[in-house]
Amino acid sequence: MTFLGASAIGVDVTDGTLKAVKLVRRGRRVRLAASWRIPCHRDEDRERAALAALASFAGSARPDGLTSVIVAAPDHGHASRTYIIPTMATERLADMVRYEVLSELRLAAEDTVVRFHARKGVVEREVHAVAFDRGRLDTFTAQLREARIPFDELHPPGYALASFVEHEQPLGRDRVVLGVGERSTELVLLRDDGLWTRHLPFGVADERRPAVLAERLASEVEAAAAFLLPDDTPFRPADAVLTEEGALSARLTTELTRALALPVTRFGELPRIDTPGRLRGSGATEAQTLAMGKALGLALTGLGLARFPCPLVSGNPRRAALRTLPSAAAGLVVASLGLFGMTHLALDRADTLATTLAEDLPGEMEDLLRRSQETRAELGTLQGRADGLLALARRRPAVMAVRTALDRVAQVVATRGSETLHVDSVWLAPGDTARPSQLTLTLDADPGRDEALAAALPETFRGVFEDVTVAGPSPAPERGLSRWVVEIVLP
Amino acid sequence: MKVVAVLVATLFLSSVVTWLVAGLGGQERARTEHADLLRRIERTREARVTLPPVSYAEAEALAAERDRLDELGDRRLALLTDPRDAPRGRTLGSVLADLDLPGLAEGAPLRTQVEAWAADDPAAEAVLARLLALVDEADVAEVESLSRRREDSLAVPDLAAEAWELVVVSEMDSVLAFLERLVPGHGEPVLSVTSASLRRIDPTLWSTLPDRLEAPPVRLSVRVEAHRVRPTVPGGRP
Repeated sequence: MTFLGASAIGVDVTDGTLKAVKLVRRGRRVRLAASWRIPCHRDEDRERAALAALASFAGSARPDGLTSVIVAAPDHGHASRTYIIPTMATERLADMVRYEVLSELRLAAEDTVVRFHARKGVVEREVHAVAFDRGRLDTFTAQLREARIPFDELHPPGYALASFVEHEQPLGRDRVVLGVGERSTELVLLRDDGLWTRHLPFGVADERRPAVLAERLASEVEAAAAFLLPDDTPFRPADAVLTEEGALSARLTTELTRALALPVTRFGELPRIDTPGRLRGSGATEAQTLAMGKALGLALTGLGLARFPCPLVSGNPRRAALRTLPSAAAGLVVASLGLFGMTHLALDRADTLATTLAEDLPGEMEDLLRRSQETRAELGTLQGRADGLLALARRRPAVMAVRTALDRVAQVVATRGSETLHVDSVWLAPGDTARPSQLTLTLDADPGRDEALAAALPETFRGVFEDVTVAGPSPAPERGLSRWVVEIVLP
Repeated sequence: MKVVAVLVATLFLSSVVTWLVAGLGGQERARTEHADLLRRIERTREARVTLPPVSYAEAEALAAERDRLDELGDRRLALLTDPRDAPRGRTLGSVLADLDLPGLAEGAPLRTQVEAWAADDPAAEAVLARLLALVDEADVAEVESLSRRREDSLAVPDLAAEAWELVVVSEMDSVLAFLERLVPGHGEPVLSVTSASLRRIDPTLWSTLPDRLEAPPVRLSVRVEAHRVRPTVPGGRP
């Protein structure tokens, strides 16, 4: 299993034909990727024929290191039992199961490989146990390794078949499963409280008459149910499932239905496995592929989806380690990126800290304060300079105002007739930065003109100067004359 | 698969080396910089306690205002001292030669005084030349007095000033013409009137006045300031 998904090949060579399928899992979806079917030569020794077929398959399929390869163990003569055992530690459970199997079957411990699959339980656990001949297993395993046939685990083919059927068509009731191959048959009895398997040493090649084969299979089912199953609960199967080569025969299906008095079903499609239109691989038609129940079950075991996993032999730690390579590589890549990131962050942080808050900020503050104070003092001087130059320039219009004022007065003087009316003096005081320019005209006039001048003097400057004050009449130094003083504040 | 493994291994090793070479050093430097930063923070905190608040924005505003006022003053000074409207330069000697005023006749006390001022101070000579040239241009009938005062009513830093008092007698038109020439805007020296008084002369006194008068005379007493731009030191103000 890798973070990208997983792939597994299930290989079954127990019933005279090598059947293999490759399943690929992506998340929750399982896809059938390829299938192979290589008949074993019947003239040869069965074991040798099986090995030859396996070698041919390995050369053809070339499974990579990331694909789990689960091979069916040779189960001729195996025993299968189901026990209800109180919940206990795993080591104790293993010892308990081994003891039960060996004592019940009266087998030699050193010659027997006992493995089991325990279902979870709080108080007690349902344990499906199998006993295999050690010598046969060791020989087969050695032959696989000698022939450099890659594999990861060996599993009981009956358990794989049960896992496949329960994966695709869970029933929840008593069931009979028959994997009728060329030369052998896998018989599985499924019940709510247990799983029992039996290897039957005959198949479709051994009995060509479907009716006879069906009767024989039915009697074996009855015998297995009587022998293997506990007596306390009757076995009432709801259906029978037919796989392997036997499923390719409609006639056999019909005969089995009659012989077992049960509905017999075959897999015309895989409800929970995506099946593409064209399969890679070689030698298998679509119908043959759909009937490869054991191979499919073994592949499901490799994907971790089997209901009854029971590894008998774990083959290759190196291959197991290799399958962790993608995850390890991904982890290393993430770690590398993390280290690069941490390096960058450390350098960046150091740079940021170095540039935060200038070293000489207090000095800069003092300097800024000093410059501000100096500038503020300079502003006063500069403002005074600008104002002084403006006041100097304003002296010009003040001087020009003298003629204007005299012209206006001349208009009044022109009306005097024979009376005395003259300008005695004009005083100009140009302003400065603090005060405006002022023009003062002093007129002396005949007192008889006082009333006229009182009206005429303000009127004559209206519209020419805004701020005009006329004072008078008052006695003039020249005897007998009235003095008028006109004060004009120049803008 | 092997290629991928080699690439991944190379990537990981390079990341480890990078971390060891640069990352660890960066962490150490960050620690050091952090300690320095704490020290700088403390120094700044102390400075903030001892110093009054300062503002970069305020400093910039003050500088901008200073530049504005400086430029304003320069513009005004340039307008006041613009030589384009300056009158034709005449020497004091030529002006005195052209003037036909009893008070400034050869050997007259006022002329002697004027020549003494001119000999003593070239700046005074220039001012006198300008003033008397204006007297001549306005066709003033007489200069009764001319005195010198060391006063500066405005105290503009750029300008050195000296005050002169004149008393002239002439017809109103001539007097006004003369007065109106004593204004800024005609180059240096920049002349301006700080006070002026026009007085009617009693007709009984007309006989004492020069004969050339053709209209009732008036007496103008005027105080004039003559401003010159102060020489500046290199790179600085006056």
